[in-house]
Amino acid sequence: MKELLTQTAWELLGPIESGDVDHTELQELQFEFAKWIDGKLNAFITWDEKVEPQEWDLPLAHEGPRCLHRMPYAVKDIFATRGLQSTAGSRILEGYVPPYDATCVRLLRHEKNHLMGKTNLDEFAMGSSGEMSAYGPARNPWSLDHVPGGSSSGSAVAVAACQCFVALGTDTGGSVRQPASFCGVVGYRPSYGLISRYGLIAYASSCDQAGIFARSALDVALTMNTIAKPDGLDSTCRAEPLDYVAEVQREMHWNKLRVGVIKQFLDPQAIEAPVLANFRASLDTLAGAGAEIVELDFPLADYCLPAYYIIVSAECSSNLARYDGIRFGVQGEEPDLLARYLGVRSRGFGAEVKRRILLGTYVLSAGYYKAYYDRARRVRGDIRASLDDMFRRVDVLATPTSPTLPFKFGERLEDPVLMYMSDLCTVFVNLAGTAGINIPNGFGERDGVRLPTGLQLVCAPHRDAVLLRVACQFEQLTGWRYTPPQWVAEALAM
Amino acid sequence: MERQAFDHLCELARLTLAKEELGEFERKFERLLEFVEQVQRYTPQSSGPPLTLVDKVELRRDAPLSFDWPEDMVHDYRVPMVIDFEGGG
Repeated sequence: MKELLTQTAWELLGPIESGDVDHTELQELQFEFAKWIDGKLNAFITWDEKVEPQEWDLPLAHEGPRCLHRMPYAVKDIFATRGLQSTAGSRILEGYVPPYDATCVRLLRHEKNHLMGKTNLDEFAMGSSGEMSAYGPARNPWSLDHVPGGSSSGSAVAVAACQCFVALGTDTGGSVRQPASFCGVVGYRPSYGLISRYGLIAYASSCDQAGIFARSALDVALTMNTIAKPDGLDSTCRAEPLDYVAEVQREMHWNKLRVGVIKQFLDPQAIEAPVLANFRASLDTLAGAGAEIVELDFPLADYCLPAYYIIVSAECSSNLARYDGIRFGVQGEEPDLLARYLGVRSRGFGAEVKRRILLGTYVLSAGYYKAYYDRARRVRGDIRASLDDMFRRVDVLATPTSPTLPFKFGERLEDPVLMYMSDLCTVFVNLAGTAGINIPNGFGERDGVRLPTGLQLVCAPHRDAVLLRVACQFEQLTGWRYTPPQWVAEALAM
Repeated sequence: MERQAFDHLCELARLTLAKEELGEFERKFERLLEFVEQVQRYTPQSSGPPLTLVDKVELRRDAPLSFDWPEDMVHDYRVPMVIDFEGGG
């Protein structure tokens, strides 16, 4: 039965609904394997050991669009889960147990999906390699010496290494798409507001968005049908009822599709050779199917990263002010209030979080506000306008997801700016509030190891159904199908 | 950045840095500042997304409303009083 763990959620949905596959047995098998293999991967921070109530065995009365149900899934440890520790990868929240579920966790539970546990991440989702977790880094299943990407490192690893079928992450600057690219799975960031952020521990509220890791674009659509719902508890949620599965299965007319390619993201100085080679091969596939490839100029590309880091640092310095050693997690011992704030925050936050809080405080301070924060905000306005213009000329944009292959642990820790460059091709999506998806598009060699690469497709805001359809049909064009790394497949066969 | 200004920044951010981490921290922070300064080279055309939408929001009058709780949503917990945390309650 273990071979079932390598399938997609879509492939298992029918057998589970018909009773040919027992969902409780599947969940037990998945839980046992995930825990066993995690000794090598460190993808999980907390396991959900609780046994689901017996009424979960009753047949589901299902109406409407097909949803993900009775599937083992995992969530990044930045979503609130009732009765289960939620740390955000930080020591400052160690032992914090929320009294409520995030809306998307509640919706997945409502469909009787089985939560495996909470996955590892860069502290408060601030990082691009998974190395900033206070609980030790997750490891890339394609090579344990290489980073899995970040910040949703554990969720990407868990889906790639058969520890669950679907996982949730968050994407503030590429934190779903980039680790998905590094781990060879599909990673989708929806348009801003399409999934409720209620119960998501905030980092930079104007860019934060829950996202989905899966083994196919169809599994992403299935998960969207489950969690992309209106929510009165999040005033920014703009989800409207839509059957994403039906949308992705609609016929695709390739000869009517215009694919934009941003020439600044084709620079061999910035993009590693194997990544660029696989990207060009993907463009050839799209063109071969009949799509029109349009080269576009995006002069603002150079300013996306600096503007992004000013904006998110400013927002994080404000959002993280709430961690004071009184209300959440670690409590201070100091009798004096100010000493307690200082003590708990200084011991509880890691170096990268402190850097961003300081940068945010600096760019918001009276003397520098105009020069940094206000200017970055206006650059963001121009980026949005520029993308609006591009989307008048094309239906989707295509870029490499990450400029590099996965790198070795420690390789970029000394230079924070080099680390930030990992987000080169992804942050413009977050600044514009639009959607992007990573689809695995091959492998490249680095340090003598074969490592995955990814193609990023981006659509205009709230044109997510079109994006998922193109992604799904691209998978069919290339014949790509999820396969686990060899050692994981061998472990399953044992 | 001068040490005095850096210390003031830490104070504003409610953070203290240990002496042994200070040197590396300042070096990396300077590097970040140089990086984000690149935005100065560009003159934006737009006024940026609005920081507040208050002038567009029509506030309703305060009145009790019924809220349609989702059936499976938890609403049976109470946050303890702060005084309980301090052992005074």
